[in-house]
Amino acid sequence: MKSKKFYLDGENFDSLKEGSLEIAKTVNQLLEEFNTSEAESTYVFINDEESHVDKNKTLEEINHDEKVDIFCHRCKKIDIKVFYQNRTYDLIVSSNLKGKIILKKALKEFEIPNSESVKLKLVANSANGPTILDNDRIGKFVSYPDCSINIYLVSKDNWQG
Amino acid sequence: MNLNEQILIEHINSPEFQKGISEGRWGLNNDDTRADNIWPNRLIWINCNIPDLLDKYFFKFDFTGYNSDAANAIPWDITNGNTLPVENWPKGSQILEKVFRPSWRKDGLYVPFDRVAIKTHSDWPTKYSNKIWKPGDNVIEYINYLHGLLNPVIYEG
Repeated sequence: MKSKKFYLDGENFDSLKEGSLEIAKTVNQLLEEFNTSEAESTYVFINDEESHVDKNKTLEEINHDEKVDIFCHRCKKIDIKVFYQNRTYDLIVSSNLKGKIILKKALKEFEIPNSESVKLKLVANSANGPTILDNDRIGKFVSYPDCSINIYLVSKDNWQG
Repeated sequence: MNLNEQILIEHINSPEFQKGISEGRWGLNNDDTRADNIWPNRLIWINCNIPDLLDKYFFKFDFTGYNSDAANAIPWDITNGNTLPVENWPKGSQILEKVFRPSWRKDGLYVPFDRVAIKTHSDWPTKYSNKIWKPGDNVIEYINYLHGLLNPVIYEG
């Protein structure tokens, strides 16, 4: 039986998981097999798609690639407030959205030129919070039932000594 | 194989590191006949999306003492098996030139996750207590940082 490789990540996952499962199995079966907690109330996203998939679909039906990125979260959407200097930017996004897309939206909203934007990064929860990397899904920083987060556009580290 | 190398292999085989490889964000040179790619060294490349710079940069990582100690990375000329000529080091923005700083040293990068930089900055453990390399850390953090530097997000143009 043909299998599909996958990466699995989500809310409250300690680390990214990697595996392989028969393509005839459903997304629900994958979640059960890999002991995803709260599987019933979890939304499942694939690759960089902002809409969640039907968990009753098989791995073959959700996409035709040999490998798929799967992200699980109990929040379908996340309310974000981005802080930059004295300004704020509110947006609602899929919990699957990557940090680099949010950063791009924020740079555009605040009309920050490229010469300045290369010096900036996003951090979560406070101005000294953890860096949101380009490939981090925003849901990794949010725990249901609070489907919201404050993020800050701050200067990249400027090492000195 | 010693424990340090075993830990490195475990980290390289982790899903996070392997996903970066499968997405073309970084990769390993698998030529183990090269003297510069034998333990404790490992050649790792990281892609770069900055116009006028190379498409990817190789680094010679020295993992001596890993992961009690941080790794040490040097921009590497893969063809000549030597330090990348200074004129080819990443440059063009203040943030890049702070890290890739041959005027400081050519045998390390100016970040608190590089063994050479840490050893030459006694104040960094206090100054950058949340960022500095700690025993048990994973080189993926260093690689993610470099990948972010070499792939800035912009919206214009």
